[in-house]
Amino acid sequence: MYNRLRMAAIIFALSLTGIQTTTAYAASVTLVPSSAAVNVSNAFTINLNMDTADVAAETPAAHPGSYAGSVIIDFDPALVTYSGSMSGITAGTIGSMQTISFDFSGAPDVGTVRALDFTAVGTVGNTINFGLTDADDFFGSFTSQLPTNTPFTPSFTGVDVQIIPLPAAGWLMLSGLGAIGFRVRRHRYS
Amino acid sequence: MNSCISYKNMGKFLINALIRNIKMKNLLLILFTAMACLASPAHASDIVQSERDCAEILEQWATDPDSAPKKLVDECMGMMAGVTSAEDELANIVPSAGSQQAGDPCVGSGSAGSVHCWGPWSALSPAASGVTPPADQLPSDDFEVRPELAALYDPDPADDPPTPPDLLLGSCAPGTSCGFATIVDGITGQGPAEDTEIAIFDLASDGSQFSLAPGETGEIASVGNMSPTFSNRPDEFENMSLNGIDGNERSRLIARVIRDTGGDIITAADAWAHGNTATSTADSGFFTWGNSISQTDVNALNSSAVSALFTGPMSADNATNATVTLNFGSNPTWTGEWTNPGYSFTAAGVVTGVDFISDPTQFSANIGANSFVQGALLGDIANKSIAHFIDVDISGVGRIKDVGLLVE
Repeated sequence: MYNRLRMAAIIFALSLTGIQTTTAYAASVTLVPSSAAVNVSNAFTINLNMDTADVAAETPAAHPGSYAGSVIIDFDPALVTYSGSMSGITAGTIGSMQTISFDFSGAPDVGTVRALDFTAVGTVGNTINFGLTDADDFFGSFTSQLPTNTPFTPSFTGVDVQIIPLPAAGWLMLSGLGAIGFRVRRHRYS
Repeated sequence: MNSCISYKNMGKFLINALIRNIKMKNLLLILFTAMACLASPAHASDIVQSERDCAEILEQWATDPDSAPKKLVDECMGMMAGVTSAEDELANIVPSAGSQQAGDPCVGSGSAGSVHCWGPWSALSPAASGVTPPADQLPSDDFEVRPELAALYDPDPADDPPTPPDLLLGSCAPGTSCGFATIVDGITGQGPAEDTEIAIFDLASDGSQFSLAPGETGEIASVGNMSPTFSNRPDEFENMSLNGIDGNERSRLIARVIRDTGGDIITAADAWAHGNTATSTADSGFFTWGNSISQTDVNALNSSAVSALFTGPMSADNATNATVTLNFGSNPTWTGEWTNPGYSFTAAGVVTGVDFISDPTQFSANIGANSFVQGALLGDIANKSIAHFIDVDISGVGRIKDVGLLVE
């Protein structure tokens, strides 16, 4: 959250000073969860997806192309923990928020850049907020690498995930199974 | 008075008239005319005419002794003996105001040198009446305006080779680092051509820092001691990423590079940026850079008189592909073509040392005045490349400023 506020403040300041902060491209980088709601203690996946088709349309030999960038994902460690591979991952903190950051290169213009595994550790009713920002909060880090290196500034969109209780059918099934087990046990002893 | 003859001849005329019994009425008229002639002073032209008569009389008398009386012949002889001294005296005569009124001082052989007469310039003045001047005084361009400088202003191209146009960003010395870059405000590196500058670009061979317009007003220097990271690419280059932070100063370089076996960067191209987070100001752009070829290699290339073809995309707008051919030899030249989905143009010029510069007369017809292409030959004989920039005004498109690294 702190990163997003800082980025917004910088962009606002740059816009006030007349500095051009973005190209005309509509490239986007988004976090997409495997499910919008998870149960307590359940694992789930969040994909980092990128769509730079607009950049590819402007750049020769950019489809599928080769794209590079660096992102920071922040979340509340009281609600969720990162449980995926640490290869290329740098963990850190910003205030009370946990962060993971990584670089990527050679990614195609459209698709999933990386899948990230998490486990919900909060309580039922909590909302896990995943923030997403460019790791370079001043120049930006995203580049189309073919045929030449051309920086571009995509939009960044995080995601929220709800922690929900087990459904009623689940509780009924568990109680039914318990009842069956109890009767089997009584029948044996009798 | 020009009709009068000398008084001596007049006397002979009267005697002859008496002898021939001319009527008294006519005789009186002749006497009156003679008196009028005697009253006026002898004029130089009269004497000359008398002398001319005597000359004719003497000439005729020489062939026919009976053609004139002996007395007349004797007088003429006496007169001709004093001709020279008489003419000298007459030439020195300064007419008085009265004599000017009485006769025209500008008639005769001495009039051209007289201060009282118009000189030869009077003939050049247009007539007040608007009379058409003679044909030989009409304006004509069939002459050299400045004949004494004709050789200077009309040199023979065969004698002296053409002087190459001035380099827009100065010369690149053989065997040194050379580069060019675009500069715009902001962090995107992109901007309208009128807000884009082109400057010299320099990069440390270890990638630790870079600078623009070094040593000039407005120099941009990156933070120092940056550590580059390299990654592979699908072409002949590597990717290099530089990120530097020094307080509020930030610097960034994202480049295609070629390194030598020792790890030093030989050539590089693409995006740069430098700014200050405290002031929220930044400059950015695109660059092309490398180590220029040595003079020894230049001499070898010119001796072999080979041609080398270089191609590649431009950096600011990589939809533009450039093709440049260097023709080495005793008078090395170059030609180039730039193609883009929206335009294309050609240029040509001469190669001087490691520099090549466009000849304004050799652009394609769609290129306007004040357009430039300049570049430098990089690398060595085995691995040549070109760093160059274009600053051209394209008809129907506008001004285009870009830089490009082309490889052989």
